[in-house]
Amino acid sequence: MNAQEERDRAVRDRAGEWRGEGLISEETRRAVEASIVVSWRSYGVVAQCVFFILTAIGMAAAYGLSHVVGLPLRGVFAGVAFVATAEFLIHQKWFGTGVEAALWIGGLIAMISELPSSGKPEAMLVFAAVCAIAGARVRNPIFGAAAAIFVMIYAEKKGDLGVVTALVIAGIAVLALLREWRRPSTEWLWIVIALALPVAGRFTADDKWWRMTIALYATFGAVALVLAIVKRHHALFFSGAIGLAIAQVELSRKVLSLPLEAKLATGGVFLFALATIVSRALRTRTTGLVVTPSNLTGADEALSVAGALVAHRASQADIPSEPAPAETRAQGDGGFGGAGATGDY
Amino acid sequence: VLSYERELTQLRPLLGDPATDVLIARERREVFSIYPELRIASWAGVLLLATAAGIVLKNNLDRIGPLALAIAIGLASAACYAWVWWRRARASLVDDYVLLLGALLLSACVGFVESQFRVLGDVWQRHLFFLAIAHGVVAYAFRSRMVLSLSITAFAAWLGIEQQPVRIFTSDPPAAQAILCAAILLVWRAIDRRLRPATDFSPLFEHFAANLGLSAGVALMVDDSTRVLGCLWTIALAAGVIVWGVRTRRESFVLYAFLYGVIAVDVLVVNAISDFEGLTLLFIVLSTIAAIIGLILIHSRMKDVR
Repeated sequence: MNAQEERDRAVRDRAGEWRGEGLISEETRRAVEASIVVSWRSYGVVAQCVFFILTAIGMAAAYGLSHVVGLPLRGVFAGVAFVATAEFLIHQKWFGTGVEAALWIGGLIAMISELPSSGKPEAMLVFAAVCAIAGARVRNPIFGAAAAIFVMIYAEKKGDLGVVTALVIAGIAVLALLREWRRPSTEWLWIVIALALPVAGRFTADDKWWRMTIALYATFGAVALVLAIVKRHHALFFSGAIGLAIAQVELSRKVLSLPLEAKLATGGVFLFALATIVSRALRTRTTGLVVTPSNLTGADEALSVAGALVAHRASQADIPSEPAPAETRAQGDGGFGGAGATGDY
Repeated sequence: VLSYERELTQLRPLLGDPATDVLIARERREVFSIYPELRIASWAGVLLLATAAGIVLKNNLDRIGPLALAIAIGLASAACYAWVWWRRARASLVDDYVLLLGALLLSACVGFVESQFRVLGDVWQRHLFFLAIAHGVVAYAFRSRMVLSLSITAFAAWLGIEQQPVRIFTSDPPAAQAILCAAILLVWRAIDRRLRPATDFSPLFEHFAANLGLSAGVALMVDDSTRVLGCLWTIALAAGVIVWGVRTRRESFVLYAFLYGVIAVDVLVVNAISDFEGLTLLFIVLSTIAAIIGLILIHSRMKDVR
């Protein structure tokens, strides 16, 4: 799929969003979709995930079958078969279905499964190469970000440089998002890297470098946030927020001696206050930064309900679902119950 | 950044000038809404505050005492509701999340009171039913889908269904209760649609009902004695959900019902041929290929319906 075909597909998909916002009529939406001919078979993100899972199940069963029949070099044979199938499907104009992506990544993983395990950090570079090759071929941003994460793990294992590497790669992605890209998939690659790498880097942070970790994340977050305001890009806002949040969590963990609940409450009040102040400040604006309702994904409403349920679970962690018998529970021994909650007391 | 300005300019004759101008202004970032950012910040604020309240209740029982804690959390919840009620004429995005915070604090408070004071005695689980009613009333008063989701989960919990997604796939959750809950939700949805024709709650009822019904089938599959029944139930219900999803052009229902259906078919057949390892694996390979082709055909059918 060339750049223009990718763009056509993206514009065609957006027609539904415009209809949802009431910008265009149903008739206009149909006319827009009819006017843009996309000859490639491709699906939305959720459908791609379902196809990816189904294909992965099929590949695992096929690999297991080759094991049962005692096929020699089964990883190579299975890998070649998967990649060949993927290429056949791409030749049949399948792109962005989830099937060819699963076949490509699964095929390469099957092939490298035949390599002797050395346990050396360089193995991470092999995984990075696998993800990068598959990602480049099927233009999958998640594979590309996975390649970057493997490079970060290699840097951590080799020279204890996980955080620095993660933030350098994320920084490159942030800078890349400042320029205009033709292909939507390239833009998405930088978005996923800018969001995922700061989070992944946090898991490699060592306690002995905590001051440096806080300084790096705070700097990264502040720069990304300033660029977000200047260039007006959602991914930069979220990347900056992630950087600053990680710096703040580390800072409160190491410096503040307050109880956990006080730290959480302070953070919650700060976020509420920030949202309130910003929304009030911008409520009358009609140009520039505005707060008119808009969706980031096609599933924002579903995500908000899922978020409410997550908040419910988080707020009622370690809560019993039923009270203890009075004679076995002393005052102050227990937690408490809530809707559908569970836990010990 | 991406800009589709060129494509939008080409589509101007179809889109019309007003819509094209709005869309081009967005592409140029002349108008840029940070509504999603504020929404996530508000949600994170609720998450942190509600979690903090839970920890306060858990860690300060001895120091502060149960009555004072219950009153404090209850007052905080009431303050949230009062705030949203006071601002109802000029409600903003943040107010939706203040309402959610109030509902979460109410859940915590009621659960805490029940666990500490055993107000309802042996029928302590009824506090979940009362919570479901309270959240339901608030959801309707403020037209909040987030609070309605809490009402539905409290109701399901009252029927004995755990909220945790993993738990529902063990043999422990009662499949009959899940099916009963799904049926009640469909009745609730029908009444809601009858009384409020412009309701936007229907998708929530539909998703909960479909998932409860389908996961009840999967729960039945866990036990040897009910496996075949569970498979057949799941296949039948998944087929129904797929047909309904195609007719109503609801892709998400089609996708997850299809996944449930494929799992049920695989379990049913593999259960019968599990002694033959090679045959089992071959069946899974073939069934997966068939499933992919089937899903593609269903997807095409959905496009035709559209």
